[in-house]
Amino acid sequence: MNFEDLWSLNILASALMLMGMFFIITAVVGLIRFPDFLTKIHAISISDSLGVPLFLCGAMLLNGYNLATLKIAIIILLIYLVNPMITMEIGSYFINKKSEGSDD
Amino acid sequence: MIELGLSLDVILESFFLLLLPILAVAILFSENMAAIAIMSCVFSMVMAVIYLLLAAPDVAMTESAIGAAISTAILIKSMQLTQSRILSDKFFCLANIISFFALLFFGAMMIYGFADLPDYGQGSAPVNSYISKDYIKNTPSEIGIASSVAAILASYRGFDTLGETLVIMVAGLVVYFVMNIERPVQVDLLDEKAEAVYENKIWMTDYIRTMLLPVSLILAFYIQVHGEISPGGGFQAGSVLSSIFIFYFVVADIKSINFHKMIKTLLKLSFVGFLIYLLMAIYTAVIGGYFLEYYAITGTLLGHKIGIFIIEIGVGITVFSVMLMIFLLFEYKLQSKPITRST
Repeated sequence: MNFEDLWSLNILASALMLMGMFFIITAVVGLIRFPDFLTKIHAISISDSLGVPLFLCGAMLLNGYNLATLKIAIIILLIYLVNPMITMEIGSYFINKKSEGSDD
Repeated sequence: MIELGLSLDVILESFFLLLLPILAVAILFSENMAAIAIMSCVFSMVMAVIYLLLAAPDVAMTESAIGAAISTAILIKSMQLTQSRILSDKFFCLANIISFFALLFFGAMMIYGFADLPDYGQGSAPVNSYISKDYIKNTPSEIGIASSVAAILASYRGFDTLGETLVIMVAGLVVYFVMNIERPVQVDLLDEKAEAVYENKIWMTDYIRTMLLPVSLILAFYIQVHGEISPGGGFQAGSVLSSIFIFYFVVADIKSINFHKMIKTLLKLSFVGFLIYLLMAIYTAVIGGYFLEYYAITGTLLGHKIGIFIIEIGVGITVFSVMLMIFLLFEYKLQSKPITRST
């Protein structure tokens, strides 16, 4: 079965990719426009947890059944595992440093 | 004569290649050291993508592991050891003027050297004309392994790789002596404030890093033992493994580790890795072949496989232990630095 011929699948994949791009763009806009460090982190984590995985889901649909699809799935899993952790780590470091500074 | 074949690869490569000088200029004119560290990390990631586009996945692996992960961690650690801002009030001092002229000289030399380089992607360049074709053609019959990169690295240019491993080992040794941890520093590691900060940490980071560790270790092991068949090998596996451990240590509270003992163990491990390589070379010479002629081990092509496997393990051990040791040395220096916080 040739996946590229299925127009419904193409439309679904394009919709997913467009949604992913929308969330990435909102993340970038938030990164530039938000006033505070923590709100900026909050904005950019949207792209990590929603934008890029949605985009990659669209890529998986376009790819069909092969090894590359499995690899993209593993990449999505890794992004879901690592990026929120990194964001939380940066944020908690900032909060700890701030509370230390206010104590002194 | 430039043909404008605008395929996707060309567009992507041009985009990333244009990104590089922008990043370099941004690094040059930035005064915040943290921003410089992050931007050099991005520079390395862009370089890794370019290597991947140029069909060199093993170089991309090394670049992203060493350039993006390890050197960024070491830069940030050294930034914490020194000061986080460049003092720019004395711009026209003697050292700046001397270094300006030295850099001008080197820049002029490099621009002069550009004239002799072949064009980007030129088909008649010396690299593309005969030598790589020769390697690709002769690797299956002469070496008997699938990856011609591993064949060049370990067999055709085995002596060079021996020298490279020695260079990495000596670099680790030099950093070890420069950091001077022999003089015992009495440190009050567990002050109460630090305890309170680390109790605040949420379970999530510990959970995820523990979950990711075995998977990443399997990846590094796979890169190591699969080096003869797919892109990878000792250098890649060592750098990936050490970057995994550095990631593990960065997100964790590592005050409970006996640094001194661990650094010494890693130093010895780097010697062991080089010795594996050297003894393999001497063994091939003793049993009747040339120096580093793996063919002599069994007298068949299997000898090449065994020899390349063993020396890749030696290279991997050396690279891993040196990279991790340098990071731990910085971390140890940082923790044994007298705390000048409450003034």
